[in-house]
Amino acid sequence: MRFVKLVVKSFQAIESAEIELGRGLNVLYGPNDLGKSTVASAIRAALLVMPGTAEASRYRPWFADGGAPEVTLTLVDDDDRYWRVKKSFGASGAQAKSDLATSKDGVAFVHDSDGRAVDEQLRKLLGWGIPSPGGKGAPRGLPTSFLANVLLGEQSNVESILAQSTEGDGASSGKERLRKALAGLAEDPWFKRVLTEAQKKVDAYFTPAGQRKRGKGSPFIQASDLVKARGEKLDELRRGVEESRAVEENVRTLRERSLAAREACDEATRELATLRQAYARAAERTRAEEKLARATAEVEALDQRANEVAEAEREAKRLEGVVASAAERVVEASALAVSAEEAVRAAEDALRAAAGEDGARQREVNRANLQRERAELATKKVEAEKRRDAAAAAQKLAQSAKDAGEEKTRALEDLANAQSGEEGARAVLTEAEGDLALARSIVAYGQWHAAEAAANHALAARDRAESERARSKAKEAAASEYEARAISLEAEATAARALLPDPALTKRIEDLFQRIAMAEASLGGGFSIVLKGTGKAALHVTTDGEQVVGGTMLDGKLVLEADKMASVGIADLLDVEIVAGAAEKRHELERLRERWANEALPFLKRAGVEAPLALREKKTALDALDAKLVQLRSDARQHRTEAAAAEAAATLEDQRRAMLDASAREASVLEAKLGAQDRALLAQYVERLGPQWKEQADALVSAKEESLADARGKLENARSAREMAQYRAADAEKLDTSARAAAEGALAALGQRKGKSPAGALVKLLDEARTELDTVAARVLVVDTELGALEREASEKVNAAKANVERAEASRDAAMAGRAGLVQIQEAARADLQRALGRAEALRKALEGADRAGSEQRLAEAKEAFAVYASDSLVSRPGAPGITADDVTAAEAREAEAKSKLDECKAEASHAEGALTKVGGAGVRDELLRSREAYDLAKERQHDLEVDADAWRLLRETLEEVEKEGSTHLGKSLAAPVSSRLADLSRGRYSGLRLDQHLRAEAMDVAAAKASDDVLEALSVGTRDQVATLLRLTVAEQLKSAIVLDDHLVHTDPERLEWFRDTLRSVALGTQVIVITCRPHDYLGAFDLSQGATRDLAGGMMRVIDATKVIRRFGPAPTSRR
Amino acid sequence: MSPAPEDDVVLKLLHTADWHLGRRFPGFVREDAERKLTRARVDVLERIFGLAERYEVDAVLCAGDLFDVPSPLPEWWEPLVEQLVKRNWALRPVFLLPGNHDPLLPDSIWARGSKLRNALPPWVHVVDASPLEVPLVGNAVLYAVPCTSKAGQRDPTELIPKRAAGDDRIRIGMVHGSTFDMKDCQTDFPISRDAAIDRGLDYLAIGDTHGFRFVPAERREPPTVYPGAPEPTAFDEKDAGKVALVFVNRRRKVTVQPEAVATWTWEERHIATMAELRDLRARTDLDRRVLRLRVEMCVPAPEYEEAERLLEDLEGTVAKHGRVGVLQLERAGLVLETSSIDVYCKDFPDVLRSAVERLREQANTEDPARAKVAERALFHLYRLGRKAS
Repeated sequence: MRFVKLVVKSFQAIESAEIELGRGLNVLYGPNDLGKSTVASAIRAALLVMPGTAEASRYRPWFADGGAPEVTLTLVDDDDRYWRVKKSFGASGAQAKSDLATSKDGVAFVHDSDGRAVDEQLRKLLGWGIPSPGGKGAPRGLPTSFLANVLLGEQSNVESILAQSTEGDGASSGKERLRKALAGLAEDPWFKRVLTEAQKKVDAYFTPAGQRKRGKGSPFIQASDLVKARGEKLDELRRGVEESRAVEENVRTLRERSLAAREACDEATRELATLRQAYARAAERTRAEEKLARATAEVEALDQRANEVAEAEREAKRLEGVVASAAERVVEASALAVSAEEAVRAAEDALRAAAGEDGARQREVNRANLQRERAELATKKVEAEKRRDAAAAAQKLAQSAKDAGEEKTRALEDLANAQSGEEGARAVLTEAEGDLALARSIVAYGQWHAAEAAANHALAARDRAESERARSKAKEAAASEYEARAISLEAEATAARALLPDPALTKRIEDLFQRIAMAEASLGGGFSIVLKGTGKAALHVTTDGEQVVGGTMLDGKLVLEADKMASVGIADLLDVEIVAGAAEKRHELERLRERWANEALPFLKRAGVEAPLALREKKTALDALDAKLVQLRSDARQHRTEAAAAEAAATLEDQRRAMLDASAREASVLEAKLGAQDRALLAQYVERLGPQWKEQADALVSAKEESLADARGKLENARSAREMAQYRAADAEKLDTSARAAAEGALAALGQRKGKSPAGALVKLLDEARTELDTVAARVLVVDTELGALEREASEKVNAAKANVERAEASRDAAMAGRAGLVQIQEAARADLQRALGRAEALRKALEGADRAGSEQRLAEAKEAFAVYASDSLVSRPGAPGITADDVTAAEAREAEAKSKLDECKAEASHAEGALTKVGGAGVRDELLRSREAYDLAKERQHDLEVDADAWRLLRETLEEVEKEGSTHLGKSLAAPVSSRLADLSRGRYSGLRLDQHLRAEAMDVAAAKASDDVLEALSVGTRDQVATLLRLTVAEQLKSAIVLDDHLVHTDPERLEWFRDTLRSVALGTQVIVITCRPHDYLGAFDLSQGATRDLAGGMMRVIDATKVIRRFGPAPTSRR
Repeated sequence: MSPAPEDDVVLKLLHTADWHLGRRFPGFVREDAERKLTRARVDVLERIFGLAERYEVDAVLCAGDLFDVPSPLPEWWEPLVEQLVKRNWALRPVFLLPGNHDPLLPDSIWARGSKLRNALPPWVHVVDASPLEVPLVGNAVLYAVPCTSKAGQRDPTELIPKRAAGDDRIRIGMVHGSTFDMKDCQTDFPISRDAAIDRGLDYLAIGDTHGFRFVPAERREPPTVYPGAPEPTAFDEKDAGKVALVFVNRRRKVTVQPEAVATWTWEERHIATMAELRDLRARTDLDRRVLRLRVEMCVPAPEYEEAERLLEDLEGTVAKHGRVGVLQLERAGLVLETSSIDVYCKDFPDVLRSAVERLREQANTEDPARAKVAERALFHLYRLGRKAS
């Protein structure tokens, strides 16, 4: 920190003052009582005192009309920032003002703060250990601290600094600042090397703000990027593995499901097959059973007929016996009747003998009539009974014929049904064949359509491939152009860069340039040349690089003013160069210029520039060129990448086209297959089947093929049924024919005409016979009654004769009746015999007409066929429920459902398996393991790096802490340079000053004597002043802060004063020193005194200020006694 | 005893798999290490094909995963082509089988028309049919089934027809996939352990796992063999680094002979004492080792420094080769013994000893992270202090 300018108004004795201070040693001199110390006081007021406080009241001007005290101090802080503080110390609140402004260049200031904030900011800025204003417990009066006293100590209390320390500071900022400033002095070289190494490591890892470095090349970024990249890769692989696992699991599940569905389907198919087989077997069994029953019935019918024939024959034989017996008995009865007739005639003779009367004769006539009638009636009865029996037999035969006809009708109906069934089955078969053809056409159309679409895709793929390839070529061309431009630019940049010095050299050139500028700036101070001509001569004069006289003939006196240098050429006789400034600085400048000529100019010349700034500009231009180069290459790479991508896309399209070309060829083949089929209709079918049309169509074809097979089976069954019906019909036809012939024979025997309704005629005949029988019976009763009445009319004799006659007649009648009866019986037996013979003949003929061997063969076959089912578990399980067509239909539905499910599962599995080509499988799992290992390793490395970085930082911090907390001794640090100077000052008498850690002077080391604080106490006032001044100067030097010394060496002898003069100039090279003195010769040479208000000497490093010229005090100015 | 005529070998095969050309090894941080291991996969081809020539085999069967990815860069397939082209084996066919790492995909290296396919000699056959059936010498026939995806659930051997009645040819099968006999095996391309028997094969050449073994381990007839990777790829691979030489006699009896071809031996070591570490450093066989080294020991500062030096010797630096061919170092277990650190720092200046004491206190805190940082800082201080003295 250094002061630039102080402006004081109405401040104690000063009415006004305006002092501009140099950056090095400033000697403000003037007589006593001029107000020089007030200047120091004004500086303290500006920096430390708040307007409006009691302390401020001390600044009131000595003359009441002077206005409010006002101080304006401009200073530059350690960061070269300008601050301008302006304080008005008026008594009233309105007059007490503070204002702080800041500037980067010392010209344009901007407001920073005002009021109380000004002092807060200043104290923070100074870091002198003075607490913020107004703090609780803050001391009254002039705020002070160890550093405030060191740097702005008052004239009256020079040596008091030796008794002061940082312990009394109200804030720690002073100690902190001292610790930092003195740290460099405190370090043990060993410790310093360690700290330096640790700091290097920390600097490599961390920014000045303590953050981990994140810039390019940062190890943290590299490690973090590696972890991030590997983490991303790991995440990607994890996703890949998860995806793969999910896909594989899905495929596995679907495959298991598919297998299960296949098993279920197989089971359903097996069940269906079993059911169909069982159903077919059951149907076959039923048919076999029916066939067996029919064959059995047929044979039984034949057996029955044979029995009937045998029975008829037996009956005929029996009847033959009856007829024969009846004939014998008729013969016997005829003989008996003849004898009875004879007896009758005898009895009649006796009767006639007994009666002899007409009445009796009449009665006899009547009775004879009645008896005749009765005999006729008996004959009628017999005949009626015969007719009745014949009609009944014919009726039975007619019934048999009817039954046979009905059987035939049923057989024919069955045949018709069977034929109809066969035709139906054939129609179903035809339909199934049509359906199958349609299903196959759908498949063919779908395949053709897909192939056609593939062919179109192939064309589109070819177009895309051409487009992508064209794009790729364009990108390649663009990339080549960019690369060519990049190569050209790079050559240009390389050539240009080859002419430029490297950065380190550039930096050295710039530094050299800067140092020359600084060295040139440190020269000067101005001088004048007086040329007195005694004759005419050609004269060339330049001052500070500007020609002021060129070729002018000198005649007389010429005074030239220059600041830094001048050259004078007098004709060809003499060239004089005059350079201002101290010799060492000039020599330094010359060395620098020589270095410039050797080290910088060749490079600048080579680079074609004159100044380092131009180098920078060229470098900037090259950087811009590099950036452009990078951009061009990036563009080229981008175009190459895009070209490669387009080429890859084209290749992919080519591959797709190649793959699809086969489909195109297939399309033409399929199209030929489709022929002239209705493609619109087929398209509708395919569209209706949806995306899974192929599977659906294949399933449809399979279903239709099965339907066709089923229809063929059904047709076969129907054909078999029709053949069976045909056989039954033929059989029934034969039976019907034979039964009809028998019935017609019987009807013919009854006298019925052929073709008449035999049933009605037979009923009529039967009824007539029964009526006639009833009539005959009634008449017989009447005749018998009349005969009884006749009988009752005879006399006893007569009656007896009659009775004899009657008995004879009765005997005769009985014999006759017996004979007639026998004859009737005989006739009836004969008729019966004839009928029986006829029936037996008819039956025999029917029996002989039947194919018994065929029937028996069929029965045997039917038995054999049926016997198969006896051991068939499908149809012969006892108690097994019958299998119906519904069962088969249900099983078919289950199978269809299972097939559908299977197809669905297969489609899903196929789709899922397609996804397997997109996933990584075991490979990606394997890669994941390796990637995880790599990630863990990168994390470990990152952690290790962080631990290492943190370890270095911890080490650095620990070293700083131990340094800070007393392992280094500020007193010892400061004491070293102070002691060194003290020894030099005292020519070795005092070898050292001991300071405690708070910088309080503890003791003085005296050569060859034991150190003692007593020595310090025993020092002379002058020496104590000198020790105090050395201490203050050293502190200021370390802090690089301005220091004000207000006549602090008044008790110093000339020799030591000279030493101090040199020391002050040395210190002032790096630190602003303001010496206020009334004895300027103690610090200045006789010619150094200012000719004006201020004078800069030693290249500006020393400024001499005549206080009398810059300070105007109230009242008359003091005068020098010189 | 002289062998019978029917014992004459009529077919000789070299069976290899799992080259994994182009495989990267990100687990090895140093690029040169990773490069060595990646390059080793290419270098081993010379030895494999040289072996085939030395034994005059009738055919070379390469059973999948020959590349690590389906579409490797030319730098990985060009050396293979170079190796094959220079052989001129018109009578020794080579069969290259796509595996699950490099499946036969439309855009893969194995696809018809690919640059690789175009560059291969005519006696090199890429298996691109399922199955590929090719007659071999000695009345033999090869059935090979490629992987057509990276993952699959079907047993590829199911695509090999069963031996028909009366077929007395030597039947060789070649597929790539996992058998069920391994613990925790994945089910990608599952291969039934009895596939050779079911399909009537006299030898089933398979690839996938990286160690040489028979499947199942105890069965030799008919043999089902994984030859393993010719160069190991991981530390846990047992019996890797081999190919299988297969001899078949007239009676169709098969003899399998493993042959080592690897350059690198992968080894894992655990170091718990300085003596072990010194012994390891003294070994002379480390230059062809891929060594995973886990250091777990707590040592005082001088030994810690020595351990650091020994580990640097083993691993190498940017400027010098390490003694180990490829080192994967896990040194988190190397711990500085801090209780005696002050003994080794007693000649340090006070200020440094104060720092040592402070860091030692922190190294003994219960927070392991802080303790680790402090321990490292302590070691840095120890080393810097000694160096600065």
